[in-house]
Amino acid sequence: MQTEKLIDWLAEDLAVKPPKARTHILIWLPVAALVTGIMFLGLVGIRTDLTSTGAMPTLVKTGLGLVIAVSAVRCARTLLRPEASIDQGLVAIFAVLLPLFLLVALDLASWGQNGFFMRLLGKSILSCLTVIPLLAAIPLVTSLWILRAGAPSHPAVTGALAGLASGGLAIMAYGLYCTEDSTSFVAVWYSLAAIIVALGGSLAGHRWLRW
Amino acid sequence: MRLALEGDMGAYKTLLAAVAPHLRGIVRPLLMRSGRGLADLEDIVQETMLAVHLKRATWDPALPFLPWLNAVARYKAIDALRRSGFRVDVDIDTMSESLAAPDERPDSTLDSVTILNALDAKQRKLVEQIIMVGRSSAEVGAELGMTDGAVRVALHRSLKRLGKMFGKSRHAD
Repeated sequence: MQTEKLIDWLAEDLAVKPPKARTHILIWLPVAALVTGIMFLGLVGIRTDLTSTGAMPTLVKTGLGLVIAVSAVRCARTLLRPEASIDQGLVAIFAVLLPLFLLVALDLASWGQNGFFMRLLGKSILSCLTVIPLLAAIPLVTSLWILRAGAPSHPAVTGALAGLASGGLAIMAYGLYCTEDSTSFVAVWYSLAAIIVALGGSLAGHRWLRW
Repeated sequence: MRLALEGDMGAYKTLLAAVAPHLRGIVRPLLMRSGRGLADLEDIVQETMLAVHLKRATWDPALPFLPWLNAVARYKAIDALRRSGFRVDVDIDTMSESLAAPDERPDSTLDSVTILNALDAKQRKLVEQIIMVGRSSAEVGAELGMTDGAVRVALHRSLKRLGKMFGKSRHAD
């Protein structure tokens, strides 16, 4: 086919507006998060001492989830542009690492080294590492679906960021249920759960975000 | 491109006509360095133009157009070469300088008949009459009893089908 003809063809198609992933993600990801929230309430429910002893720790967990989700979404939106450099995606990682170190430091500062490993290991690693990825599934599928309209030069990294964002949202919900209040536990296992989702997102991105 | 995004068809055609030689200038040295003939050149150029078209919403009108265009070209060209089994590691920014030799009526290896055959009956008729023959879409749509919207959707689907064919044709090489 002559390139001239292709140009005519493309021009005829100009009226069909392509979807804008950068905008749609900001609309639909919160919707997916809402659905996940409802699913969470049905699945595990909120801890009973939320308003008393659980108030502060829960706030920390929600905050961590929010930081992860917001920075990952920001970087993923940047990487949807083909000319974006991959460094801009790595900014998200640093934005998340800093609060993690702060959380461990906070734990050590308030409770000391005694019993650090007990607090670190807690009693609910398995539940943390399974429920968070489970809750992240709907936001992850939703965001990958939307991101398909983008043009990332690095599909796997973009997918990983979608996973990180979904993991962050899942953490916000799971934090309302989990009674493990050591900030070291939260820093290590919550972030590992988010990394698991990010790995899943990376594999899916490598497959689905190519264009 | 700014005008085109506002729906100015003429501006869009002018832009694409300028984009094509620019892309050839990027893809040609890539093909040569990978030690391949230029038989695929126009296929890759056309596939990239289709990507430029389908992904045009990822360009931010507040930012310069060329870096975006070069990034799309880099992604598509490298993807195409990689699919056919070549490892590529080149900096395109330095290459776009080399000018394309003028080519009268560049053609891809994917011929019109093959493309038309891959479409369903309605799409084939539309593409044949509007694109190949050059009649107006309103006229052809009326003939087929289709609304403007339906014509648009059918043409858009046929473009997506074309995109899949580009991917496949090189796979068979």
